[in-house]
Amino acid sequence: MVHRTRPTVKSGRLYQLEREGDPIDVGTPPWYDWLEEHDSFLFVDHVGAVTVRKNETGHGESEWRASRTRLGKVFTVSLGPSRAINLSSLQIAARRLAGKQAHVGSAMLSTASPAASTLPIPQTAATSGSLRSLMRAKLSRPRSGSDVIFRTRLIERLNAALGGEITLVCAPAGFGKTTLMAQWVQTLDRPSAWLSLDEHDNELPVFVHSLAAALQTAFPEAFGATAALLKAPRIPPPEHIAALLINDLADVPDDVILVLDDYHCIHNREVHTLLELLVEHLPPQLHLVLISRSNPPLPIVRWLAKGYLTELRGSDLRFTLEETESFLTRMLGSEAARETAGALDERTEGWIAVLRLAALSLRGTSDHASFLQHLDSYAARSISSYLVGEILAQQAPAVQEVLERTSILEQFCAELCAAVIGSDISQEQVQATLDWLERANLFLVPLDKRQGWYRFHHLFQGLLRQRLQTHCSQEELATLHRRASAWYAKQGLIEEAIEHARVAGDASEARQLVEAQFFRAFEQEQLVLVEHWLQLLPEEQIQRSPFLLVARAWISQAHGQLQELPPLLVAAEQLVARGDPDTSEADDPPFRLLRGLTATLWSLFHFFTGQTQASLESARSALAWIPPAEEHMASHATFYFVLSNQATGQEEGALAAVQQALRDQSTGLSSTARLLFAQSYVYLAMGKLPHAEHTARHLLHIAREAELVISQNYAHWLLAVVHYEQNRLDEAAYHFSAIIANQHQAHFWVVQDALCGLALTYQAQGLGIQAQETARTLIELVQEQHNMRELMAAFAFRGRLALLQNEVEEADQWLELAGEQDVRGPMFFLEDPPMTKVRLLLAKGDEVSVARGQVLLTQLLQHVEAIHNTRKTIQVLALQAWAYDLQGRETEALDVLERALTLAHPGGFMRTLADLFPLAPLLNALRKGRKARHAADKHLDAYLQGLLAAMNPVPAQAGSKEDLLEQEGLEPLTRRELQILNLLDKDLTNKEIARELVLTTGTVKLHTKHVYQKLSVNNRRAAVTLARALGLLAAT
Amino acid sequence: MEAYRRGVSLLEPAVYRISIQGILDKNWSEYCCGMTIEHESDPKRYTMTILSGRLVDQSALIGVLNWLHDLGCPILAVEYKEAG
Repeated sequence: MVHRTRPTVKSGRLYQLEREGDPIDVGTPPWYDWLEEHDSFLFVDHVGAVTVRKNETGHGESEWRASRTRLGKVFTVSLGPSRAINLSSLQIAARRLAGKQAHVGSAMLSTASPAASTLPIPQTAATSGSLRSLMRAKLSRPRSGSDVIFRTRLIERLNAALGGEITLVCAPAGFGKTTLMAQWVQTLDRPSAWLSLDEHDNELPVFVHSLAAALQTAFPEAFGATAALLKAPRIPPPEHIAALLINDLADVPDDVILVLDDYHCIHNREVHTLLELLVEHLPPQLHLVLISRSNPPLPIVRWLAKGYLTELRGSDLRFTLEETESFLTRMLGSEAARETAGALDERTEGWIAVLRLAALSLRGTSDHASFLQHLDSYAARSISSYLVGEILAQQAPAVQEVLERTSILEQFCAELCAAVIGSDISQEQVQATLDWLERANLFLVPLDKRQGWYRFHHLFQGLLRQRLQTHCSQEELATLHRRASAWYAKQGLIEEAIEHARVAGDASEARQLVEAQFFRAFEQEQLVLVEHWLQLLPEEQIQRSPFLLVARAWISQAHGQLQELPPLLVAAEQLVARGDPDTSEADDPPFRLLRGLTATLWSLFHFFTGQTQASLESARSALAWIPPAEEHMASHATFYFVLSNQATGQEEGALAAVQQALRDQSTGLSSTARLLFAQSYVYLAMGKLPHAEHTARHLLHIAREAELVISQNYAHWLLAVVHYEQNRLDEAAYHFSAIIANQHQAHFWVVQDALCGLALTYQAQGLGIQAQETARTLIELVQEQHNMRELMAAFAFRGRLALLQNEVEEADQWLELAGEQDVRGPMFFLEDPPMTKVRLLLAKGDEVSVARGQVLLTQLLQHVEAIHNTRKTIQVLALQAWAYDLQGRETEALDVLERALTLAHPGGFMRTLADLFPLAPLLNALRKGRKARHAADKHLDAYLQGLLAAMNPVPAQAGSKEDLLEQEGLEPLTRRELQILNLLDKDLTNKEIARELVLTTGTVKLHTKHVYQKLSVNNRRAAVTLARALGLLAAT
Repeated sequence: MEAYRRGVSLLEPAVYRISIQGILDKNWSEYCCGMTIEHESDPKRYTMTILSGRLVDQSALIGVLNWLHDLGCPILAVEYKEAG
């Protein structure tokens, strides 16, 4: 709200109520004085707003609590006494509450269509399956060797720990963490998911991808919503991902254990935040295990105190004397074991890896006593290095070489090893060595049996690397990395290829790898992947590559950062013009594609900044550059060619271009969808609503069949806007909700506009409170994007809603926040801030305001006519009619209104006019005038009557929902399915639903699956959101 | 000679004192294994933060140091105070 009804802390300062005094900095003495005298304030930061209140605890002490209400539930976090309140304690509380809100928030937190229910492992050039196998290697539980001793005392503790939420296994390398956990998981009768983390997982999208893939190994059908994030144009913040994960986990049928191995590889704050939120709201089915060499930066102390967490540490994992002896017995026989166990236990401090090394060395010597004596002169760390030397010395030189050279690889198969070692060794020889190492249990961890992937024990790998560095020159080392890079590149494993090229010092090689893959990734719309590759490259390499500058521009536009495009595109064009030796010849297909994509992006930029003529010219140039076979790229260019043609008044040309492109046999489905979107939008801008609807239905059908999730949302947007305009509010609510239910798979602007549309729909149905709620959700969503322009537009929209609710003063304040915005661009969306500004001026109604409104309207009319946007022209004319009426110029008012109606009537526009209640007298006057002149047109009169009726709230119709289902091609739900849907809405688990309905859990699951299928969603949140829009929740 | 002989162990609890440059908010205590956080100024007039307390082993210590590093806190000194 704009009125500050409560003191508010924002950006580290307390703003008091107007009369009370100046702002106070949080944490200063005046702050603590203020806290003593007051009992509540509002705390606002980027995560959201929380209310903070003082409560008496009964001992004359008082305690502060932060709370946030969401969907009728209140969540509270205790902050302690006044002296404990400072900025970071408030921030932490707000973050925790945001997480809780995320847990229950419904509309905000759903997603995914069945299309994305299984995880798409990012495909590049890899067809050989090595990418899949590499991923599988990350996801497979390491198998334990034959000489591992079974550690009953630890297994029992781990079993006991299952009562809590999370188990932390924390000890240095070589203490048998992974071996123990693999052994333990094997003994359990519940499913488990295993994920070995590495450096790459430090980016949130990569981590989430790995995590969802790991969980899908246990439940292939589940985690659709989380997995679908990868298809999203942008990755949402950790709070949203946590909410999705928690929702997905809540749908998992059985208890499951998730093991995250090597968690110490993670340094990314966002990943830690995600994990922290996950643990704080862990569904009962999941037990999380973290394996790490050092304590992760998570609130371990808090979790220990709450009994969430059990830990096993180095002192627990180390071999006891007894275990040392039984281990040595297995390795060396009982006599040697008795002789050496005591001494080795003392020397190695139960350090398992070193014990193993010592045992292997002892195998090769008979004089145990002198061996032990020799060990005495080494400190713990160097013991291991000394021992590795001893063991390697016992191997053939070829084996030593294989081991040392392979140590540059994080994981490997025989083919990769052979490629790295070079020509003097065959793959068979390498495989023989690996097999022997595995049999001898020499520090090899087999990962994926079928594909033959391995990794070294970490400690051993480190020691081998040390040796390699002393034996090899820098140049030789670089050669090894270069070979690894080449092998990975050949397999299409670009990330690993880039990594090794970088270590080899070949930054330009790394750059060329990305350049070579870019267009393929573009074609597959792998935005997140390309973004990730760019992050791996040094900036100067990006700056010298026109391809990568254009790639970056493409990513920027997808994030809605249009202003970043011109400098990037100009820089790319300069590089091309300079004829940089790295740039290919002019007739090369990649070069033509580059020019084509550059021009397409210019066209996009010009179109959205209202330079329609320039947009048309760029699109034309793009189409000339793009080689004919590249239908995907061509469809992007055609898209803007069509839109800019329409916007420059060449409607026939626009539609002909679409028809021609659609007739082209080579056009793929995703291009067809793009072209249909263009066609439907052209009809919408022309005010031909029935045509727009027809095309959008076709688009929705194709997008569903071809599982094109982003296009599905475009289709829903078009249908929603058309239906809203035609005052078919139930349909509009359904289509807007469908976008919101799948919001992570939609472009941001679609979601934003859908929230505006849903708020307007609710308002038109007389549901003012719901409309306000929806508008609040919009503002929260936009705030997370940190895009000022969009935030201003959201504030303006909030003002428009206030006007519809007759709150002129409140609207004034919202528009104050929205600031001044100029008229430009294609006016694609439902909200145009300058138009809302006019609404406010006219609603104020005084002479000066109305005059200012008239001036703005004149500018607006020029603009909407210049871009040939009939849909918006109707709106401007209707507002002009109101303005003339306010100025008492009735003739002009009626004139302009007639013009608006002439444009509006054929397409069946209703809400544009019906949302302007003050037009009612004018509309009535028009009807009377026509009757008096005997010029009444039956159709027009019925239309006018309809408009007047639509000015009254049109309540959501209870009876018509079945028609709606049928019209949208959704199969009706059975009585049982409706019952289950209602229970899903109450947040009951499958088990609880089964109990309630006296069914088995299996039957409930089956029904739930049918419900999802029928509604074309894949999780319960999305199902409930849509069911509400379809009126299905009220039905029973 | 070797560290483990002197009774300092990777695996045993001990009291540590870590000095860093700058101010670390006291509320972060639960993220650094419950070490207490105090601010002080040294003679060169740098503002320093001292973390002190018992850590369960050196994996916990390394965890705290990594975390400080990730936060961008320059570490001035790490002291092993006593076993326990």
